[in-house]
Amino acid sequence: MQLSWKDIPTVPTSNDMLDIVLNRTQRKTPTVIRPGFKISRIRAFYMRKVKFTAEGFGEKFTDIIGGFPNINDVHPFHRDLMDTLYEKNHYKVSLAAVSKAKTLIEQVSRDYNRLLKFGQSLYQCKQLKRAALGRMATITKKLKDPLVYLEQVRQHLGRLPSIDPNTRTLVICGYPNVGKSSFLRCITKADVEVQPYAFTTKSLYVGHFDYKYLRFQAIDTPGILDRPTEEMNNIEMQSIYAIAHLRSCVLYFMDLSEQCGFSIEAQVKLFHSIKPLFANKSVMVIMNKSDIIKVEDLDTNSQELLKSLTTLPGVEVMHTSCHEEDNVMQVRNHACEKLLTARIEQKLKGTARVNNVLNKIHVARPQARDDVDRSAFIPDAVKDLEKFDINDPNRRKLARDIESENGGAGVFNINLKDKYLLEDDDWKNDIMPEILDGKNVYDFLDPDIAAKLQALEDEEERLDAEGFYDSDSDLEGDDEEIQDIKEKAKWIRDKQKTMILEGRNRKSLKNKSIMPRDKIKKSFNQMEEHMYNIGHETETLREKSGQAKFKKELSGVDILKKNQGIQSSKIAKRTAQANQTDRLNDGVSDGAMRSQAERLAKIQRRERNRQARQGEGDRHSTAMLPKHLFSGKRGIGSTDRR
Amino acid sequence: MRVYQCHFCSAPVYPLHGIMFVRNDAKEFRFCRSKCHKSFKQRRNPRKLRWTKAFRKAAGKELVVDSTLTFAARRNVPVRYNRDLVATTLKAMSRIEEIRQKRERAFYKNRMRGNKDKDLAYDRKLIEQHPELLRMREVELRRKAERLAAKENAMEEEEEITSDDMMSEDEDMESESEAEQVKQKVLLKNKRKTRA
Amino acid sequence: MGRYSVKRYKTKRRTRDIDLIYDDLSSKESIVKLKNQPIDEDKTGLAQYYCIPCAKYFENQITLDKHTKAKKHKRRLKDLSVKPYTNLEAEAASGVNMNKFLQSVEQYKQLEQLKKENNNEFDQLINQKKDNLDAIITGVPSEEFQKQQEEQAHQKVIVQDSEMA
Repeated sequence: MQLSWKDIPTVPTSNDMLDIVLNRTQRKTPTVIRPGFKISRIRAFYMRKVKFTAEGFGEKFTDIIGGFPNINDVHPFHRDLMDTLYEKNHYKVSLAAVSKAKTLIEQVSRDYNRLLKFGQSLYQCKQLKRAALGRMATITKKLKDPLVYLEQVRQHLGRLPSIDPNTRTLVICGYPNVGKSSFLRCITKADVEVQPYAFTTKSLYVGHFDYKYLRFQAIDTPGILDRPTEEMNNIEMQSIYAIAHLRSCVLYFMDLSEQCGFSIEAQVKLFHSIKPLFANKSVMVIMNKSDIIKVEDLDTNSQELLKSLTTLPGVEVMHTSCHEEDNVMQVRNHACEKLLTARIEQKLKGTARVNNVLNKIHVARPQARDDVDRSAFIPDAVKDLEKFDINDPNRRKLARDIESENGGAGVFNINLKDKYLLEDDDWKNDIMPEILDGKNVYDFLDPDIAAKLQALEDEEERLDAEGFYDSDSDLEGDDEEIQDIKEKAKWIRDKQKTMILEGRNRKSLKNKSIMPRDKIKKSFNQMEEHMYNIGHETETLREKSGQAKFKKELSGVDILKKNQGIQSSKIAKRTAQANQTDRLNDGVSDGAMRSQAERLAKIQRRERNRQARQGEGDRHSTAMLPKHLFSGKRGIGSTDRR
Repeated sequence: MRVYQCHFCSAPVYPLHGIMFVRNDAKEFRFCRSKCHKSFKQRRNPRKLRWTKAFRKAAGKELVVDSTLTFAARRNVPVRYNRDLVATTLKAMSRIEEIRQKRERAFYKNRMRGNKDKDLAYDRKLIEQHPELLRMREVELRRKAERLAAKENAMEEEEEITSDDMMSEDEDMESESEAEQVKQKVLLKNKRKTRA
Repeated sequence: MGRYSVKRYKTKRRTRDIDLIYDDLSSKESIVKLKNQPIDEDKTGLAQYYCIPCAKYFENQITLDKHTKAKKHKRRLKDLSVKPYTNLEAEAASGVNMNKFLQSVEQYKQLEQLKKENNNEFDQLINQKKDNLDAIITGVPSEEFQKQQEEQAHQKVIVQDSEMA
């Protein structure tokens, strides 16, 4: 719940409000419009203006309505306080007026937008806009009084002390001028005005202080006069509400010296008249100004009266002197103590909270299923253990004692191995290898390993005896023949491998073209070399090579041609392939036919030549013919531009 | 601390080495190196990869059933420390290893028995089948011999030439120091010859 | 994807291992359980058509049948026909836990023997056909399925008759 209203936005006066909103509309919407624009654009232009203005008003009003607290939602104390200070009805009516204005403006905006939709001209639209804004302005101007009032309320609300109705609170009350404010000054740092006349304090003041590390607030109230509540003025009502609504410890101040101008009798009477407000509260009566007069010095009549104060259960009387600051702190502390105990009691009284916790706790008690006793097992060693006592000289020695004897923590390290249960105590600190030759020792650790090993040894002996390990080196014959065979076989294998590799190498083209076999030239030397490598005799071959060159036989026409002096190499080149047809002479039987065929061919060529075609297959078309120059009607005028 | 076996190749995986994969049924798979891990991830069958122990055992390349192999086992029964027992165990471990290696060697020898005969038979066959290659070999050998002979000849000739040169130089040169240098040269030449 | 691709072998995409699949296939209970899984919306075909050897869910009976004829499935069956490789074998290969390994081999042989003896039942369980999804959800068997069942029953009778004869 909100306790202070310091951040309510300022409420401008109606004129200011108008200026603000209209100015904003002018700034944030387009301003240029001409009669020549499309009508839809003109309509949109003005509709936007109207809408924007309505939104501006709406925003402002919602800010105001949202900023002020709803008087029904706040704490009863605040509600009553606000009621007395600002008059609840007035407050509500003002806010309602603002809210109403908001809806009205929205209505206006909606209506005029509807009209603007059908605006026929710029002028018409403009007039509609003017009317709309004008109506909005009138509505706002009518809000003049509520806005002024709300601004005042805002300022006052902001200055109200932030009183939390639920925390630990001391309420100081009493007749005017009995020293309430000076007490507040004494116990807190609040700078309250203290003057020697009645009604110095006209509103509530709050001071804060700490007691037992808890935050307390002390509220100084204006003085109260003893009269019916209906007759009380606003100032007095504030203190009445503070006493009535706050869960607090009430400190009723009295002035025994009667310097305040009210008799003891009157003060006691007031106490009794506001007594009904003290229900469920801890109350203390403080006799102030004890430096001037004490209770003992009063006459019996007055003392009787004072005694009547304590008739209410739980009322305590204390004496202070704010002037000499005597007994002030004791009063404060006592009041705080009292308040705290009262609050705790109240808390415990509320059952909801206790139930809440209880619901979460469940204690299960298992039912006995049979008569067997299942008590807790405690080892005897534990039972026999003497209770450890640090003062006993014969006490048990703890590991901690050992540590301190040996130099304390950080120096001494406990040897955990001491607790091992082994057959021999000497073994305790042995270090056992975990890994040996890449094997886990623990895998081999077996209580009957000795027996097993013995069995293995026996087996070994037996095997040895049987000749299992005898190395019968088979075929150790390193005689020459075998060696020779091996060598030859090795050579053959190597050779085969190299041959395969060479063959592969030959096959791979390495960016060369495939040559037909008969075009690959191999020199005589290469052939001879190869033959020699294979193991043939090459002597005869060499002898033959000299003669072979001139022994090529010629036949038919070649002989004639040779006689005419044409080289034989040229003759060989001109031989055509056997399966080719002679396309020039096939199907032409005699000279007449020949000439006819030639004539026909010439005629066919003529058109082709005219079109500058290369042959009958030439379908080349030169640069694109621009269509716009060659199509369409042609009348008078040039055809190059259309 | 413990030495584990690689799930794939059965190599020992020492502490701080390798990588472990835990399957979602809490089975652990340890790998000695990334090669094994990758192969596992590719779901290869170790029994079919020649480089794994599992293959070698399955294919009968190594000793499988032997009493020396039954010693090591995770017993999952804690044994209280006993100095004597550990001492005998340590001794036994090395002894078992020794015997195992011995048997392994015997096994290998047994496995390889008869291979030489087979190889020889194969070689013989090869020679029979390729007489033409043998001829080529002979040519090659002959060539080699010729080349060797030619080289030696050349050496001798060279030596003669150099000695001739020396003679002429001797005639020309008079100073002793230069004569010494020449002597050194001769020594070098001789050395080369002996090496050849 | 012949080459080694990291994406394929991420642990995220890890499929069921072959030794686990072998376990799945080793008892009738597990086969029945896997074949009749509860309807699961997250799985393909609501987890009704499951190929146990390939650990794969299918859309319907038709695709499952097609799959059982495929090369992949047959390859998987071949893989499953030998003893699955486990860590025990890896350890035994380096000479640790040899006895345990031999025991496991013995167990494997026994299990295979058992499977061989009850070959028919296992086959029936693994290759059982299922109705379409609508029928499974509503609980009313479809006509086609009934017809198929009848045919099968008929065939069985014929086979039995021939055997008797």
